[in-house]
Amino acid sequence: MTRSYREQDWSSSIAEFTGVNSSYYQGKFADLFEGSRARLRPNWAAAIVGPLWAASRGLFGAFLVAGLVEIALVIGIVFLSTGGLSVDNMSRAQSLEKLSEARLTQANDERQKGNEAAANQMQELSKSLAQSAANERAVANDKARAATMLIVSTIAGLLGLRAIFAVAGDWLYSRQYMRWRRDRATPSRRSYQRVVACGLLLVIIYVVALFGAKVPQLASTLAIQTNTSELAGITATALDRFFTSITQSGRSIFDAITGSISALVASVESLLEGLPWICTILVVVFAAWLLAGSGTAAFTGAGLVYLALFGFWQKSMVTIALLGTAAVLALSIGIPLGILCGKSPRAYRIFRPMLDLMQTMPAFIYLVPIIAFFGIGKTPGVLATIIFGMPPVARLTALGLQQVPLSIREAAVAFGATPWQSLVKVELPLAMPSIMAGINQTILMCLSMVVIASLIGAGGLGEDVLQALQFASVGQGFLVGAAVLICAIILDRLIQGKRSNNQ
Amino acid sequence: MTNFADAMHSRSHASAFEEGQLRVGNQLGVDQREPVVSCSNVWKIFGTRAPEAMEAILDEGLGKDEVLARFGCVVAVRDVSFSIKKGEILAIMGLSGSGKSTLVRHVNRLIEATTGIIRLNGVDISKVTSAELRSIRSKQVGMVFQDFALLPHRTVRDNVAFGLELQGVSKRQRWANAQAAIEQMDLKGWEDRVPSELSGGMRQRVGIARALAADPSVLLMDEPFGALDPLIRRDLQDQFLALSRDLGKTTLFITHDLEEAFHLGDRIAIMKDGAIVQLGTAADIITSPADAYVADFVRGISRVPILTARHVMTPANSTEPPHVANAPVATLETPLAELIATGAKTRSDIAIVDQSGRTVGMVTIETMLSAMKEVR
Repeated sequence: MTRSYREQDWSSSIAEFTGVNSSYYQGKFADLFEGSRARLRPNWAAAIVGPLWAASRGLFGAFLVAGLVEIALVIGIVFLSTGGLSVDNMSRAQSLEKLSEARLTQANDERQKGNEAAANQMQELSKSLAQSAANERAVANDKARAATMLIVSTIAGLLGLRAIFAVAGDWLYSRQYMRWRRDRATPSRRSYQRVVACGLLLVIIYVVALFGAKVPQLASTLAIQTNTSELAGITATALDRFFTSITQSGRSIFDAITGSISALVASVESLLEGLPWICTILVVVFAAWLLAGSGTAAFTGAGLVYLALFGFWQKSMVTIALLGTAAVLALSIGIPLGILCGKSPRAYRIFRPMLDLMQTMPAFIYLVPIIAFFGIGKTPGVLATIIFGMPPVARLTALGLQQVPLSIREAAVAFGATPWQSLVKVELPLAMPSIMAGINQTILMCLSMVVIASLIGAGGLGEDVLQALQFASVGQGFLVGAAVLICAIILDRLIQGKRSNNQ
Repeated sequence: MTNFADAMHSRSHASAFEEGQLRVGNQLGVDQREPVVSCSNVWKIFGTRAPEAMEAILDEGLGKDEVLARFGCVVAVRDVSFSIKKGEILAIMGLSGSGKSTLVRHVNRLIEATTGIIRLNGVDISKVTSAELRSIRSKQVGMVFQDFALLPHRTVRDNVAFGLELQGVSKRQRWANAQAAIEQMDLKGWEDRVPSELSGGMRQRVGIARALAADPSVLLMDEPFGALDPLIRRDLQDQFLALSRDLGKTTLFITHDLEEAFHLGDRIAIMKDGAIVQLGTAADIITSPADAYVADFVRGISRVPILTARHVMTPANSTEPPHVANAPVATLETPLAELIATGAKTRSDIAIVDQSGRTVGMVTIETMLSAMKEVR
């Protein structure tokens, strides 16, 4: 026995959902569910009032899409029927005709003065102007004819849309009904409040779009200055004052930070630069072999020799010292922050928007206050790099900790682990793949700051990139790019090496 | 085996000395008859308004659905009391959502009871400090999990030694104990592998070895064999049973499989909606189910391995002596399976005698057959 959608339980539930006109929808939904041919019969309410029917039934998505498409089509029709297509050609033709007449009167003047040659010249000019005007008029007429065709097809489109809406409307409505069966918060029944609200929205859009440009009064009141705003100016000035006062009052703190960071960078730099390059290459290649195996060691050796032979050695060392220090600082802030966020959902809720902000905001924007606070040079470069590079490792550390299976954490507690033991012996090791991916991301993002850092005087390979950019020297640019890439890959492989060995 | 016993021996000396300083140790092993684990009137209600809900339940006797509707709280454990003697295996049987896993987590206080008292070796578990609790968890309770919960980055040896490592036992000592437990579970030769290299059955053997390594007095087994296929499950059940008898571990064994519960449990507690519906031996449950729910459960179970002569015999009328003079004789505790074998061989009725040799009943072929198929 097959159960019918026309039976009591379905039809009473459909009636509860639809409210008025329930008998129509009981039959229609049954047609739709049974797949009978009658399901294609149009809904006349939907055909006649279109989007407003959708609004009254709470089909807001359909209302918005159909309403906006219809507005676009109506505006198109109005534009075309007021000669919008040919209006340019018409006005050009008119001005050409005026010019032609002016030349003709000039020619007559000349003729009266007995200046026959000049008169003839003027007459010729007038004639050719008249010819151009006639051409423009012809183009305008062509366009006007085309516009008529376009108007007809747009109206046909509008009607076709309504027809589709009339047929598909009930299908959409039945889907809404199935959603409502699952979740009673889904809009149901017919409501005139929805019609009024949605209708008002449509009316405002129609009025402004159609008549805004035509009625000067309306235009001037409606045209908000969208390009410049006094509000922005006032706020910016206030922020300026705020930053200036912070700069002045926090001078000693900023100086201390500047001093310590630049000392750190300088010491790393002098270490890297002080060693003869052969020694550095030997040490790094050995470390690469130890940490990541012979393949990486070979690549590292070749890459470092490239840096040395192509004259990038000294600048590479400056870059590594700067961005490497920044990366290490970013990791040593980011990993503990990630652990905090991974352990405490509350902390994560607080820090996540900050991390989003740090990652999304263009570096040039926070560069400005950083320069205000710390001047130019290496320190602001390091700080901007930390801001940009820290979020991935914090985020991925938190994610890794959150993904430790609950049962394993429970097992640790069941065997008597303290929270610290659980973190160190169980959760961090299990989160390690995720944390390593975060470290990789952070290092690469730090190195991608190389150009921006050199913009504010941090030096290094970024300077060469800027130079190549300034003089549009493609070859030089590629060589420097390769140098930056080599630095990034070597650093990454050295740190990731252990992981790729294990797995 | 000797190796293991030695290791455990030296270990228990050391721990007895340490525990002597603790309140925990003073009551340890005072009275052999005292239950190792006991719960009395334990309730667990999940939800932010649990205390209110608890009060309302005690005052007004609310049901599960009313508590959910009025307080948004879920009653997971409902007034549970039981106690387990030393060396006993208590199987807790119930379907998913019956609260059995929640209940067992109260024993080592992974979950705190809303009300009720849980005693472990005589100590009220809710009164100990967090340091004492950790010591109890690591030294007195071993736990085995359904999904093994092994540490994937550690070798078998370091997984088994995990609990001892947390206690700060020296590497030499914990590796020795771990090795003993590993050999106990037939995992010799796999010490340096990681869990992902083992099969499911082997992984759970590692889980059991980990629970045994610290020589705890209580084992909590949370559906340990639920994720294994039937043959391996049977294997591990038998291995565990033998081991448990050997070591005399007091065990709470959670399962959703009635046959497993009957096979392993000295007594079985059947849980439904957070409450224990019936607590008794397999024969108790099968011969007199407490309600329709339990009766429904035991309907499909083979009664042959569970029932004994005591349950199936027709009691002898003292005025009427057994009518077959040279009938085969069996005791009250003779399993039904043996009676059937005897009956099939001799094709005669069997006389059942008590300890004094007096005939107390008869078992005929008919009574055996009806006992096998009997459904109440």
